[in-house]
Amino acid sequence: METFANYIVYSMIFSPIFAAIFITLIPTVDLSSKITLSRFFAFLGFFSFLCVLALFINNQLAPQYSISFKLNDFYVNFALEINKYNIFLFGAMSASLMANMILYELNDTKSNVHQVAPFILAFIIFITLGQKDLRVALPIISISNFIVYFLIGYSGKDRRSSTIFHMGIFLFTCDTLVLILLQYQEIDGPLSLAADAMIIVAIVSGLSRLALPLLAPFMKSLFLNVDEAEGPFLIIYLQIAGFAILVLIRSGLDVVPDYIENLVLVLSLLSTLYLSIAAVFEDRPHILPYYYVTFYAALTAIIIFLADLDSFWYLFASLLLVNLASFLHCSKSSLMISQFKHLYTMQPRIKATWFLSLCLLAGIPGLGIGATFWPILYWFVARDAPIFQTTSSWLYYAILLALSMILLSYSLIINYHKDIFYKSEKTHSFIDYSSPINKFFYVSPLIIEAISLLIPWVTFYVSTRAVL
Amino acid sequence: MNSAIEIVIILLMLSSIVVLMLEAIGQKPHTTALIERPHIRLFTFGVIIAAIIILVINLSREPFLSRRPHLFFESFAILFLLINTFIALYLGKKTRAFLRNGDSFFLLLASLTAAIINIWTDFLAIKLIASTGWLIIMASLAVKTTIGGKKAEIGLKLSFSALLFFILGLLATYFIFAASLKAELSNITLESAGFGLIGVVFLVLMGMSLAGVAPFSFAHVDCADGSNLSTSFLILSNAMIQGASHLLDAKMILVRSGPEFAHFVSAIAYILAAGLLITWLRALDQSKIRRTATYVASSVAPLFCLSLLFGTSALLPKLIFVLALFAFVTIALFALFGSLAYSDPIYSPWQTWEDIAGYGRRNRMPSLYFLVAIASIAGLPGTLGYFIKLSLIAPLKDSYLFNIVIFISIAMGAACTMRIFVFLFSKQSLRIDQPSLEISSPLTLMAASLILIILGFFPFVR
Repeated sequence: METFANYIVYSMIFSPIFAAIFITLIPTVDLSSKITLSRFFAFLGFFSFLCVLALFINNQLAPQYSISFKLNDFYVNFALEINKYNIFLFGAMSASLMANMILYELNDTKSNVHQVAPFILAFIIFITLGQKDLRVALPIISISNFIVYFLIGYSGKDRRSSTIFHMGIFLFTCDTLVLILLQYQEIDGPLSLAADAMIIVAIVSGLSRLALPLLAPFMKSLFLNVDEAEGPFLIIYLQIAGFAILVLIRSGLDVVPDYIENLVLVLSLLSTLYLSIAAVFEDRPHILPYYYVTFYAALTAIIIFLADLDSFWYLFASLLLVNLASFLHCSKSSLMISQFKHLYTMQPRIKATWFLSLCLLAGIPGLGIGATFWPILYWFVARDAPIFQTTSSWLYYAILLALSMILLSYSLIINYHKDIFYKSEKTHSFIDYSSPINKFFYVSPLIIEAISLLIPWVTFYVSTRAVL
Repeated sequence: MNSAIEIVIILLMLSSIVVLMLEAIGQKPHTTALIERPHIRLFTFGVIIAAIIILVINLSREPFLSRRPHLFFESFAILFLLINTFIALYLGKKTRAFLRNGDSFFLLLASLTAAIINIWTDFLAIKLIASTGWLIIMASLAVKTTIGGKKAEIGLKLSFSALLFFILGLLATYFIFAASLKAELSNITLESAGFGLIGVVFLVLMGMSLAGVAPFSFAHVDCADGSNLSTSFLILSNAMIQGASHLLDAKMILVRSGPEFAHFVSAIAYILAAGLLITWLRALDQSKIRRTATYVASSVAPLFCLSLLFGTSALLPKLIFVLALFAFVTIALFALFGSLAYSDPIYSPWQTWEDIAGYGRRNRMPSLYFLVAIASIAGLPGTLGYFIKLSLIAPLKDSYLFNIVIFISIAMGAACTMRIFVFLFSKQSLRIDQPSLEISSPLTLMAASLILIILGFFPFVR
C-alpha cells in the first residue's frame, strides 16, 4: 500500500512536467494531438489527486515524500509534505488545470511556451506546496512569475508592458524583503521584532498575489491586460501561490497575534469595499469575474487568520474551491458572451444562463459561492458571539462587509442591465449564424451549483478524518 | 602547493614565448593561409588546459583542503583565472576576437601570467608591478581587439587607470613599508593607526581600482562596453579576482592587527556596498543595451569582493561556498557576455533598447540566457546570485544600513531586469526587418543559465 501511495503522489506531482515534455515533443502543426495529450495529463493529474485525497482520508499517506542523493559529503534532499493544510491547495491546482484544459483549447497562434505554461506552473505550485519552509518555497514562487510575465507580455493588450513592469518590481521587492527578514529572524529568534516584521511583509507578499487592490497597485491593469483565454488560469495560479504563502505563515503560528488578525481583517475588508465600488463603475463585463474572484479571495484570507489552527484549513479550502469553480465557469461564460454578443441578442435562454452564471458569484445564499460563504459566516458569528457584544470594532467590520456585498450585487444588476442595452441596439443582424454554443453551456451553472454544494460537504468530511 | 603554481607560471611564460614566435612567423607574407592561426589557438588551449590539470591534481591531493579552504585561496583564484581565460578563448571563436591581430594570443598568455604572479606573490612591490603590467597588457589587448572609433578612448582610459593604480600602489607600498619595515604582506601587522593604516587604506583603494569597483570602474566599464565581448569578459572577470585578492590582503592585515581595527574592516564593507549601489544606479539609467549589460556585469565586482571577504553559509562547507563564489562570477559573466555574443546585432555598442524591442520574441534562447544572467547578477529570489547576496546578511547583521543597501541593490536589480524583460519579450518590434538568428546558441550557455537558476532553489545560506 505504501508503494501504491508513493506512485500516486508522484503521479500527481510529476504528471504536469511529463505533459509539458510530451507536448513540446509533438510537432507544432499537430494541434489535435497536443490537445488530447494535454487533456489526458490534466485528467491524470486530477484523478491522482482524488486518489491522494482518498489515501489521506484513510491515513495512508506518508508524513513526507523525499527524493535524495549524496555527492561525497554533499547531501541533497527534496522533501514534499502533504498535510491537511495544503492538500486542498493541491486539489485546487489540479482541478483548475483540468478545467482550464477542458474550457480553453490550445490554438496554433501562440508558441509552444503558451501550450505548456499551465503545466509548468502547476508543477511549480505542486513543488512549492510540498515545502514547509518559506525559504525554499518563496524563491521558487518568485522566479516562476517570469512565466506569468511572459504570457502577459504576449497578450497584445495596450498596457501590458507597464503591467509587467509594476507587478514584477512590486512582487520581487516584497519577496526579497521577506527573505532578508527571514535571515534576521533566524539570527534574532522567533520572538524578535524582525520576526514580526517578516510575518507582516510575508502577508503583504501573499495578499498582493491575491490582487487585493490595497496591496497590489497593479490590480486593475493586471485584469485588463491578461489575455481572455489565459487570464483565468494565470489569476488562479497567482491566487494559489498567494494562499500557499499565507497558509505557510498561518500553519507556523499556534495563535495569531491580535495585530496580525486586525491587519488582515482591515486590509481585506477595505479591499473588498474598493473592489465593490470599482465593480459598480466597471463597464467591461468580461473582467467582472476577476473582481468577484478577488473579492472572495480577500474573505478567504480573513478566514485563514481568524479561524483557529484546527479549523481554518477546511473552512478556507471550502470557500477557495467554490470560488475558483464559479470563477472559471463565469469567466468562460463571459468570454463566450462577449465574443458572440451580437449573435445572441434575442435568445432568452442565453440571457438566463449568463444571469445564473453571475449569480453564482454574487453570494446569494445557497447559490454558488453563497452556499459556502454564509455557513462560514454563521460559524464565525456563533464562535465569536460574546466578542460581538463587547467589541465595537466588529460592528464596523460587519457593516463594511455588508456594504461591500450590497455594492457587489448592485454591480451585477448594473452590468446585466448594460448587457440588455447592448442587445437592444444590435437586434438588426442580417446574418444568421448557427450557434457555436453547445447545450453543455446551458446546464453548466447547474453543474457548478452541484459542485458548490458538494465541496463544503467534502471538506468537512475530510476535516473529521484528517490526522496528518 | 606553491611549487605547482610555480610550475604553472613557468609553463605559461615558456608557452607565451613560443606563441610570440609562432605569431611572428604567421605575419610573414608567405604564410597567409595560416591567417586564422588554428595551430596557435590550439596550442594556447592546450597550455591552459595543462595548467588547469596541474592545479586540480595538486589541489585534490591536499589533506587540509576540505577543513581549511581559506588557505588555498591563491590556488582557487589562479584556477579561475585560467578557466576565465579558457572561456574568453572559447567565446573568441564566435566573436573573432583574437584572430585579427598578430600578437593577440601572446598578449592573452602574458596577461594570464601577470595575473597569476599577482595572486601568487606575497610581496606588495611585485604585486604592484604585476598588476600594473596586467592592466597595460589588457589595454593593448583591448585596443587590438576593438573595431571602430572606441579604440582610442579605451586605450586612454585603461592607461589612465593603470597610472592611477600605480600611484595608489606606490603610496600603499611606501606607507606600509615605512610603518612596518616588512616587505611580505602576510607578516605585516599594524601597531597603531598611523602610517601603516594610511598604507592599508591605499591598499584597499588599489584593490578597488583593480577590481573595477565604482567609482574606480570608469576604465573597466568603457573597455567592457566598447571592446570585443571576449576581451570584455576577460578583463572584468580576471580584474575582479585580482582586486579581491588585494582587498583580502588588506583585510587580513587589519584582522591581524587586533580588535581596535575592526571598524576599519567594516569600512571596507561600506565602501564596497556604496560601489554596488552606484553601479546599479548607473545601470538603471542607460539607454544603450551594451552599456546596461556592462554596468550590470561590473556590479559583480563589489558583490564578489563583499562575499569573499564577509560572506558565510551555515549549510554549505566553507570549501563549497568559496568555490560557489568563484563559480558565480565566471558563470554569470559567461552567460551575460556569451548570450550577447550570440545576439547579433544587439551587442553593438550603439544599439538602444528601443531598437531591439521585441527581439526576444524572435530569438528566444539567447534572450532568455541574457535575462537569466541579469536576474542572477541582480540577485532576484530563485537565482544563485540571490543566495550570494543573502550570504552577507548574517555576518553583517549589526549594520542595518548595510542590509538596507543590499535590499535596495536587489530592488534596483529587479527594476533593471523587468525593464529588460519588457523590451525583449513584451514590446513589439518597431522595425519590420528585424532578423532572426540563424546560428543557435551553444549548449554551454544553456548549462550556465540552468546552473544560475537551479542553484537558486537550494537555500544554502542561513
